[in-house]
Amino acid sequence: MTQIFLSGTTKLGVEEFDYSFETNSSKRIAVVGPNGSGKTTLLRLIAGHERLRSGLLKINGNVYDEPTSGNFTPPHQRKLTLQHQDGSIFPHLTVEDNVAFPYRSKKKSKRKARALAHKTLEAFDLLQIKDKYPNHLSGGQIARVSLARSLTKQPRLLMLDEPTAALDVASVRQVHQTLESLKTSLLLVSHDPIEVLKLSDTIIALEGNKIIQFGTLKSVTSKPATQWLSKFFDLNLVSGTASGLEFKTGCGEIFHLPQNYSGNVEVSFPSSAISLHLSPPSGSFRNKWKATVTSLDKQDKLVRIKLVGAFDCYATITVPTFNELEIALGNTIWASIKATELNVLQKPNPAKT
Amino acid sequence: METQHNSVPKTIWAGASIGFIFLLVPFVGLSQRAPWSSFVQIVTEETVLRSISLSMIVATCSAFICLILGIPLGWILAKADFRGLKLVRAIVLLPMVLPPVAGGTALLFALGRKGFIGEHLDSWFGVTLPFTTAGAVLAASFVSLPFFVLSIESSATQLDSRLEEASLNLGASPIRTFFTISLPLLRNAIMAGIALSWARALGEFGATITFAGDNPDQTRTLPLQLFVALETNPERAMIIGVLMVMISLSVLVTLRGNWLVQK
Repeated sequence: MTQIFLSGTTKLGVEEFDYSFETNSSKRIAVVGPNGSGKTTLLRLIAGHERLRSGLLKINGNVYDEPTSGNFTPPHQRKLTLQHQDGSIFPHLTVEDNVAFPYRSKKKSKRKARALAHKTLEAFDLLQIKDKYPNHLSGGQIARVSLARSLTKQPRLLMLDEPTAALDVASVRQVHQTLESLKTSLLLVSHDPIEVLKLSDTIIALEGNKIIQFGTLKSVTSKPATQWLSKFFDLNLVSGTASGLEFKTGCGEIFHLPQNYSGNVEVSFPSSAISLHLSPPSGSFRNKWKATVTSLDKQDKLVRIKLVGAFDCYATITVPTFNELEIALGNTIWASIKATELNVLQKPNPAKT
Repeated sequence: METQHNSVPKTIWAGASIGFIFLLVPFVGLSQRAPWSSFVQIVTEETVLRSISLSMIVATCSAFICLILGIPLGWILAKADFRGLKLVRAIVLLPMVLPPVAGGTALLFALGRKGFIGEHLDSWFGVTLPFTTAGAVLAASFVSLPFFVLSIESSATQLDSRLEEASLNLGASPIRTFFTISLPLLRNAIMAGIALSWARALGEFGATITFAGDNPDQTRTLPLQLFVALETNPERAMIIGVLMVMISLSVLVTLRGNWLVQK
């Protein structure tokens, strides 16, 4: 568990940044926000590549940056790692020496460092390519090397700047699987709502170089503070098992899928794809279920409705439809969604041990 | 190759050809007039052999000095940000633009026997630089250092700073990061810098003759030998000229332009 306390401002060129948040019990924090909202700067500030102009940054009780007292811990003395999107693998070192780099930094001999790195190389399935140079690696391999290298430092906090933005689907799965099984605290910048839903328990939402909302994943997704956030999280995620064209949710509800799948899958769909009905909808191939309205959030022309039934999800409908249906809190209604609106994510097979 | 040939306009080809011929003609003239029959005899003369070895010593020592001083200088110019940085850069690059004779004169009034530093060197340590090989090395280093610095600076500014940040993140101290990440990534620039400064030092004449003077045993490098011969024995001068062309050309061919031009 990593405790981060940050309350301070900084300035880069003409841009001013103002951050204030404190984490105590969260293990996996996602930083979200539109482009240029100060996400990367926040990470760089915590890593020590940028300095505060005023305020205080404290991690696990250690003061890392406090301009008034002149306290500043340089990046190489901080017990955390920041991993850039492209991995920043050292091009002149082999895979093995890249992964062993943090040991070498601790003044271990080359042989000792390599011996220590062996276990990590094995865990990340990098032994066969340990003597290769980065320009001979695929994007997925580079992602693995980078993650392995970040972890050999044994950081208290691992910060990732869009770790999967440039990866193919298979590599994304692999990275997510690794991150899900990690014990290290995570601070992750992501543009992918599914990634955020899967990997985080706490959200820091930025807009205009300020923290606009901070809270648990549940609280932010159920009451997004801005239009950008509600759009970003306008996605439902249901996990279950698939066999052929049928998908069974954890609670036994059966959905029809657009294509054949098998095994553990996650089904995602936008909240606007859900239709609501007062009575069971007719039609043969429609996915329908019964749910209770537990919250209503009226915005300009749309209403966001939380439905609790076989699984929790959000539906977004227009105000006229909402008025027509006369939906009220606590009502039980019918929901339906077309199979073609479902986006199926095959879950990786259980990890080899 | 063929497509590239076709995509270049004819006018550009014409201009390039004139430029090439302009550079080639002097060498044709030199090799046409040179008394080839006495080539071996002149080149193996003891004074000429002495000049060849002096030239090699001076060029190599001065390339080494450039390496030691040029890396930190180039790095600071690329990475640091302070008031007066532009002035510092201008001063560092000055010897490249300045006529070498002027540079030699400046050196003489600073480090010569009567110079404001030179007189102390003389009275306190008994060290005099003019008319010594050390003086020739100093003069050659003075004019070639900017070439080295430029090579380092231009590469260092293009270096991906995220790699250095990654190294710091992974626990390497700034100085360790410099030696394990930055320097290896600057390898090509360092090689180019060595080649450029070595070549510049090899051809150095003006600053050397002004500051270090013409001492047959200590400072008469090949260019000085050529200059002396030109006044007394033009045939000898031509042979030494041809010799210098051969040395320079073989250096360039060995490098294959690998480090000088980064494609």
